[in-house]
Amino acid sequence: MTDLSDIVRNTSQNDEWVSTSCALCYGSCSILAHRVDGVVVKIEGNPESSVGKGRLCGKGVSGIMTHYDPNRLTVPLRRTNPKKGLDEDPGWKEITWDEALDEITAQLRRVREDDPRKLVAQRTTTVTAARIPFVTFIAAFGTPNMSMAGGGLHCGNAAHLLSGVMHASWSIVPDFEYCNYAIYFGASKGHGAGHASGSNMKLAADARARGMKMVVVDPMCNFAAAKASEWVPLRVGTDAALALAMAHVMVHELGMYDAAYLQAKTNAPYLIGPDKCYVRDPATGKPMVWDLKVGAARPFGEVEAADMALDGEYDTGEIGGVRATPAFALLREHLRKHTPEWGEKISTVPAANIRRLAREFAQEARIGSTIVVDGVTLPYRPVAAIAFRGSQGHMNSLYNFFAIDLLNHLVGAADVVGSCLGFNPASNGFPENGRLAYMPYPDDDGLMIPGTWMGYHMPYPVAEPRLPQKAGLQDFFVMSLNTPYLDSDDREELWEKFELPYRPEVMLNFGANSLMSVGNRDAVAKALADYKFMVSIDLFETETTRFADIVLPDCGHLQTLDSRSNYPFIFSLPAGMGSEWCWPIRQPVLPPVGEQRRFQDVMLELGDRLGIRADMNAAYNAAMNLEGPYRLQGDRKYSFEEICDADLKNNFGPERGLDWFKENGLIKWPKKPEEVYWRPFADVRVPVYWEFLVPVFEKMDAIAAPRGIKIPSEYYEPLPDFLPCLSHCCQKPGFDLYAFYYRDVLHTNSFTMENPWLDEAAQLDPFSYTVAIHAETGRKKGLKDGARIWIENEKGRKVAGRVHLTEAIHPEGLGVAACAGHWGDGMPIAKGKGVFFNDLLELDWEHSSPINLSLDLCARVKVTLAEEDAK
Amino acid sequence: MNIRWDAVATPSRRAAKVQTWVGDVIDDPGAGEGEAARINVWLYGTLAMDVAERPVRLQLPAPFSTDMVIRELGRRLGDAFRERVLDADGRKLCYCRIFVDGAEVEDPMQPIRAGAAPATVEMILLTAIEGG
Repeated sequence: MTDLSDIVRNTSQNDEWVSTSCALCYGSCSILAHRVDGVVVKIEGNPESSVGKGRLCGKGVSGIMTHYDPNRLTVPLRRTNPKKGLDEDPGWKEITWDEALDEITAQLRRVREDDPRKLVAQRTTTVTAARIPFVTFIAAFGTPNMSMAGGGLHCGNAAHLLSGVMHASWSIVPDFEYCNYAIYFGASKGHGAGHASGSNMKLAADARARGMKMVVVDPMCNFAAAKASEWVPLRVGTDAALALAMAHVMVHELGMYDAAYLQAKTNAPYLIGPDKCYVRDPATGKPMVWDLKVGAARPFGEVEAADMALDGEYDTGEIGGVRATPAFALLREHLRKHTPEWGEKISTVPAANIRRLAREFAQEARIGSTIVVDGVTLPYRPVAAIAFRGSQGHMNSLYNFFAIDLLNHLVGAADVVGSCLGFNPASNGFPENGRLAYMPYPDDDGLMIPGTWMGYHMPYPVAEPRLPQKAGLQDFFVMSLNTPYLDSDDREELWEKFELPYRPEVMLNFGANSLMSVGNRDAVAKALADYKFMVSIDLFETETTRFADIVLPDCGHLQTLDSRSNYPFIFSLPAGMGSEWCWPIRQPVLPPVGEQRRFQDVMLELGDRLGIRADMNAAYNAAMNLEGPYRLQGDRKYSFEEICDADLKNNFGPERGLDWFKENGLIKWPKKPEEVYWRPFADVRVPVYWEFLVPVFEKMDAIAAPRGIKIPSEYYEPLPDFLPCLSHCCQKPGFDLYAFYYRDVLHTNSFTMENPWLDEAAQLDPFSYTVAIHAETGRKKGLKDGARIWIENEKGRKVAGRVHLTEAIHPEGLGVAACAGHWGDGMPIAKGKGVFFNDLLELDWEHSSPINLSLDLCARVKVTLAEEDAK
Repeated sequence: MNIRWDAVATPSRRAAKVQTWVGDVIDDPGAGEGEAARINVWLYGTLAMDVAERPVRLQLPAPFSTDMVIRELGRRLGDAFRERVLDADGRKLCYCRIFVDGAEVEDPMQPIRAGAAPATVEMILLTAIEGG
C-alpha cells in the first residue's frame, strides 16, 4: 500500500488529497481522494481513520468509475407516458429544477393537507448520509411511513433486533484482538462487506494470523469460509437447529455453562409461573428469584446473584401464589429434545461434528477466567458465535439468531474480552466534554435498554402493539423493523383487515432500487405503479426510477457533505480495543455535474416550499441533539453547511466546526477497556428467556383475531426453537434444491454492477454472475459447467442463469450471488449481467415471518436445462 | 480460578458529567411553588396537525413536569393527540421527543422550574425506521 504518511496536503491548488468517506457500501470507510486539476485520479483508504484503517476494498477504489459514469443522471426528468409498467417507456422529457420542484411541492402539499401518512419515503441503505435528512423530513412532514427497501428488509429484521436486545448494538462481531474461536453463522464480518468492513478486514486477518480458529457455518463456502479453519455446510435456513443442538451438548452432555454469568447478567434466575410469565413481587411488581440462602422468593434486586437459584421448582406460597421455576431450568428442559441427532436430521451437520463444535466452543470459552487489559481486570471468554445476513434471511430468523446468540450467553461470552462484541454499545463520549456518551441501562425488570439506537423505537422494551397507522404494519408487528407489506401481493387485503384508514399515494424514493431488491418484480412493479405520484432522486435511471413521475439527478459521494459519516457509533465504527473512537466527515471533492444537486439541499428546499422549515429545524434539533447556541431556531433557513457546522460544534466545541473538520478530516480519541468491555460495569441483564413475548402475543392476538387474522403462536414462545421455512416443507416432486442468494464481496446490492471495474472483476470471478450448484448434484442432473438453466420455484416463477459446478456449496444448495440481473437501459454496464434471484421470492403474508416480518429468502426450486443447452 | 461476574466489576465507571451547552435550569423565584408557570408549547410535524396555531399557551402549577404538559394538551386536543404521544398504558412513547428551553427532558415526571419568561416546550415525533 502506498505510504501516505508524508503526504503534504494542499501541495498546490491543483493537486490535493481530500479526506472524505466512501459510499460504495454502507461501511462508509474513510478515504483520501486524490484530485489533480479538478479530476479525481485515485482513491485510497485514509490511514489516519479508524474506519478502514487505511484499507479500502475494491469497491471503494472503484468509486472513481461510479462518479465518472457517463450514464449518470444530470438533469431533472418528467415522465410523459402516464402508464407505468415493466415494459413501459417513461417518455422522459427534460425539465428545469423549478418545474420539478413546483410539481413535487404541489403534490406533497396536497397529500399533507389531506393526510400526510399518504407519503411513503424510501431510501437506500447504502448512503448513510441520507439517514438524518430523511428522518427529519418525514418527521416534519408528518408521515410515519419510511421504507429501506430490500437492503433493510432482507438484512436486519432479526440481526438488529437480537443484536439490540442482547448486545445493545446494531450488529455483532468477534473481539478480533483476543478471540480464539469464532463460529460464524451466515456471516462474513471481516471477510466481505458489512458494517466496518474495511477495518474488520485487517482485524480479522490479524486474528487468523494470531491463530484464531474460525468456523464458518454456511451453505456456501465463499468469502468467510474460504479463509476459515473449518467450513460447516448446512441446509439452508437451519441455523437454529445446529445452534440448539450445540446448546444441548453444552448444557446436558458437558455441563459446561457460566452459571455465575447467568445468575448475574441474565434473566435465567427469574422465576416463571405456569402462565410462562415472571412471578412478580406483589408489593414492587419486580420479577422474583428464589433466594437459596433464605429459601424464599424475593425480588431480584434484593438477592445476591450468587444466591439465585438456576434450577428447581419452588412453591412461592403467599408471596407469588404459584409453583415457579427459574427460567434457566425451563431452558434446560427445553433443550433436552434438541439432541445432536435431532440437529443432524434438520441441518445435515453430522451429530459427531455438532458434539465436537460444542465441546470446542465451550472449552475455549475458559469459563471463569479473567485477563488484564490496560490495567483493568476483566472477564475473559475468547469465543464468539456471530450471525448476520444468512441466518436472518428466513421466516425463522428470530429464533435462528436467538439460538446462535444463546451460545454466547451460556458461556458468558458477551461483550467481554475475546467474546462476541456489539459494535460499541457503550461510550464515555468525547473526553473534553463528555458529549456523545451513552451506556446501556436497565428497565424496571432489570433488562437491558440500549444506550443508543439507530432509530427512536428501541428494540427493547417492546412497544405496545396497536391497530396499525403505518402502511407497513410495523406498529402492530412490534418486533419488526422493515416490512414487506408496502409491496406485497396481498397488501390491500391486509390493509383492509387491519382497517388502515388511508392508502399510500405518493412515494419519495432516494436511491433505492426496490424493484430489484425486495422480491419478485411483478409484485413490486404493481405496488410502484399504484402510487399516484412518485419522485426518485437517484444517480442512475434504475429499474425503479423508471417508474417515477419526476426524476431528480443526485450528487454522488465525491460531491456531497455529511457531518456524521460513521455515527451512531453502533453502526459502522469498528468494535474492540483495536481501533479508536473516530468521527470522520464526508466533504465534497468535486462539484456537481450538469444540474445535479445534493439531495440534502433538495429536501431542505422542499421543506421551505411546503412551509415546514420550523418543523424541519425542530426535527434536526431532536435528531442531532443540538443544544444551546447550536440549536436551530424557528423557521430560519439554514443551509446544509450551517446545519453540519452546528452538528460538529455541538459535539466537539466551538473551535471544531465544519471548517476545522474539512481541514482535519476527522477527530479521534482512544477507547478505554471499560467502554469496549462494558458488560461487567453495567447493572443490566439480558433475556435468555423472552418472557415479554407472551404479553406481546396476547395483545396482538386481541387485535388480530377479531379481524380474522391468525398470528401463529409458535413464533412467540419465550424460548427459541427450530421452525421450518416454507422451503423445508415443500413436498413437490423435482423441487429438490434450496435456492438462496449471498452477498458478493465485489458488489453492493444492485448498485455497483454498473461500475465497469467491478463488472470486469465480477466477470473474471467464477461465482459473481453464475448459479452455484454442487458438482456432484449437478452431474447427477446432467448439468455441465457453464450450461444455461432455468430455476423455477414452487409457484412457477423462473429465472435463468449459467451453472457453475463447485464443491464449495451444500449438496442441496443453489447459490446466486448478489442482487444482479439488471434489465433496464439506464445502467448499460449492469444490464444482462448475473441472475435476478429475487424474482424467485414470493412477497406475501405466507412468506413473511409473523413475528419480525423477515421475508423468506430461500426458495425450494427445480432446475431444468434451457432449450438451447438441452439440445 | 473462577471469578464471579459481579466480583469483577467495580462500581460504575460511567462517563464524567456531560457538558451541556444549555445553562443550568433556572431557579428563578419568578415562578414559585404553587404559582402558575407559563408555558409556550411548540408542536411540530404530525403533532402540529392537531392545533390551529402555534405555540399553544398553557399555564400550569409550578414546578411543572412534561407529563403535566402532555396531559393538559391531551385534555385540550383530545384522543388524536394522546394516541400519537402515549401508549396504551399512558406512558410517553420513546420516539416522542420533548425539549424544555432547548434541553431534552426524558423523564416526564421531572419537575421543571420556569423563570419569569414563559418556558418553551417543543415536541416532535421521530418515527423513522432503519435498516441495513
